Amino acid sequence: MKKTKLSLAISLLVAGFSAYASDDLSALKAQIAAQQAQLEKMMQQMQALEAKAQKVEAVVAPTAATASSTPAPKAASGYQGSLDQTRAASRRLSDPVKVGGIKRNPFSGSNMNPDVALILDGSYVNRSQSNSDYGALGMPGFFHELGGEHEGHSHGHGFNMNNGFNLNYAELAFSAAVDRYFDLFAVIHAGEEGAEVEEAYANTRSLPFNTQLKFGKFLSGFGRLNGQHHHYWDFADQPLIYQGVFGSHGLLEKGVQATWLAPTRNYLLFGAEVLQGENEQSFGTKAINVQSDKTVADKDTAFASQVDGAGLAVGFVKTGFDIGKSSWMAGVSYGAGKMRLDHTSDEHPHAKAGSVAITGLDLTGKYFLDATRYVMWQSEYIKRELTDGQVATYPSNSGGASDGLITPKLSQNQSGYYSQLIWKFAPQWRTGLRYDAIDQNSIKVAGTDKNMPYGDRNTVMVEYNPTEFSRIRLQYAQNGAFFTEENERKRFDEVLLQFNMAIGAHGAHSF
Amino acid sequence: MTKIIWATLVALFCYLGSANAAVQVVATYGWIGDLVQQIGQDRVSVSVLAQPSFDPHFVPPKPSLAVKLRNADLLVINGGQLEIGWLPPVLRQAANARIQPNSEGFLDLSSFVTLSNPRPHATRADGDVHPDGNPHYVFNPDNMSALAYGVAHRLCQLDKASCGFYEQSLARFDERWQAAKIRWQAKLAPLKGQHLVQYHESFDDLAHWLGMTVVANIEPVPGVPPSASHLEKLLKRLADQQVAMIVQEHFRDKEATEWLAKQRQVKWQVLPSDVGATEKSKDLFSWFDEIVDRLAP
Repeated sequence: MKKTKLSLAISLLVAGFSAYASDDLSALKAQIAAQQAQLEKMMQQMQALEAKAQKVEAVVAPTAATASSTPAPKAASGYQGSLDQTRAASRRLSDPVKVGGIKRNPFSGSNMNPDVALILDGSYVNRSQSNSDYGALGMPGFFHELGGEHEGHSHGHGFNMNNGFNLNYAELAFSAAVDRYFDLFAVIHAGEEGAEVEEAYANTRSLPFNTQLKFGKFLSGFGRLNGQHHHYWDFADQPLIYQGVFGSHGLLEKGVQATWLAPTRNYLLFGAEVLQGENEQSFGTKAINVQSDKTVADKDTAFASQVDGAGLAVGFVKTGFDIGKSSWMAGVSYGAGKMRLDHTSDEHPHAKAGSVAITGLDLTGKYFLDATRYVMWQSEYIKRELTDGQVATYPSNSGGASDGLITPKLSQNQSGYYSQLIWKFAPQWRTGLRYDAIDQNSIKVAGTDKNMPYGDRNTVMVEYNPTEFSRIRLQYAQNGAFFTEENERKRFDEVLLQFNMAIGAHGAHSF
Repeated sequence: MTKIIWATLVALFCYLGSANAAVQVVATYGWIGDLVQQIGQDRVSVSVLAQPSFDPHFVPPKPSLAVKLRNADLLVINGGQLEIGWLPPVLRQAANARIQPNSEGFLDLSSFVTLSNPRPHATRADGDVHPDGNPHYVFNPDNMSALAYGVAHRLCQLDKASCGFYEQSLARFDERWQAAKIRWQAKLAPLKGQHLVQYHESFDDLAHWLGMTVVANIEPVPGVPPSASHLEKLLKRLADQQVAMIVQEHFRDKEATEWLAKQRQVKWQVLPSDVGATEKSKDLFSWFDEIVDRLAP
């Protein structure tokens, strides 16, 4: 009834209208026809597109029929579904329904936040040495005063320095892809007295021929232990030779690294690095003014020959292979640069300079007893040679005055090693033994060997790892490698309870 | 002298095997390797990263894994974060741009199935949980067709000349799998409605497929082995529950399962958690045959 009324009204209207403006009508008709044609064209295009999509699907899903037992993928109904939803939501435009309502901030990039982890390391230490006695110890020819401070750095930066409780660090680690070409990693090492950028480097993602470039500040690929972070070490402290040659942070430098994984049956990695060479114990970039009056510039001394720019080159070759149930890794590393040891402002002022070459050999074997148990043996030997060197000493102990300054020729030949055995004897438990020593400490001043003393250390540890994110480690060491300022050996025992935990998105560790 | 050293080095390590035209596929686990082999047959060359007898969550990273990944055209993973604890650094060290995530040479099989029990709000206090859902989806045989299809699809993309071949072997595989499923279901029909205790959440999907109910996990939270006191508590908690059997994966310590089974006087079984984990589990079919045999009443 209603319909007829309506159509009547329309026909009347149209009749009236047509009588009124038949010219306009023909124009309107033409317009409608054109629109209809356009609509038809669009429909045809849509059908063609649909057919094309089906064709693609048929190509990629040649056996859709056989795979019929699987649930139909959501995407198939996705378009139609959202169209229906939109239609339903907008049936009446005046309805207070948010069509295309904002589900989340359209300008938020929080999806792109990097993986962030916080790693905490603390300890309880009981040492048969007072803090001040311990802080005054050193390794002759390598460093003096564990707890001392020098211009621009402090040895006291080391871990587990005090009897009682220590907070070694709370480290923030970030990682994410920068874009399709680079990954970025950063470690912000925060202690109680401040934070510093420990590592911040970019890694290439898509270079051909299994090559990778790294640039920024990073742990050098020298040796085996150097590239690993403290929280991944098998003992709470560094081996003596690492502490002596590289200091508590290892060889951590600004620069670039290139690696190439060779197309060989076994793992064979070649690496080369050009680094700034600022390591306080073996390298340095600043010329040293050994003259206190600062007017005498002796260009001929090793101290004055400045290294403006990158001064350290490192190369390494690493290999790895499996033999039965065991996996082996071996490496050879070499680094060459200039030493610039500036302790001219110390109580006993002195300085060293010369050419340094460091060689490292490492060998690691891991034997898998079963799915959760293994035995791992890891050893490294590191040798440091200093040639064409000079040492500056002030016999009068006059606080840096150049009176009596002598700068005799210096050559050093030092080496040391560690060997450790780790046994994972239960899913959450590991225990280990380590022997580390300095085995050579030849320091020749003006051709005369100073007969510097050196020592060794025995360490045992047992650790409980409730999960892969937490570790509690008890470590006992007999230390015979540290000496007083008068080169007198101070033997001591050390018991250490270490706590290490990680929260957040902490990436897995490599081999 | 240097030249001689170089030559010796290269000779020592050089890959003497002939390069062939087959698609080089690396699979993270044994079952994935076999699935790719079943579909790709002689047109693919498959190597597997994880040792099937080990825990899939903790595959020891080794240099040899980077070597396998180095020249791969395709990396197929289980996904659901099962590999998160070991694969990323090895993949980075392999420096192979072709198989990085989001590239054509990277295939995450978990994208073809719906993971059960997603826990997007889990914290680490809940144990080693996977927020996306239970990654042990392979234990539901109903998932296999979709997975096989996913593999065939990607192989076809990478090796367009062989699409027809992959299509045929996919059809053959699926036909065999459907037939096997009927066989397994018939054999395990009596288990329907019965209660199961498992060590780890590995067999949720298997239980679901069989119509069994998982009444308890032996682990207090995923990834944490049970203590003696936890076992006592668990025993108490199960006191008024029917339990038909207790199962665990082959790579775990058996004391807890054995103790609980003895206390409850029920059958317990060690199930191979991957193709290649046991001598009998040679491929997907024999693997499930063995699982079914061990479960069969």
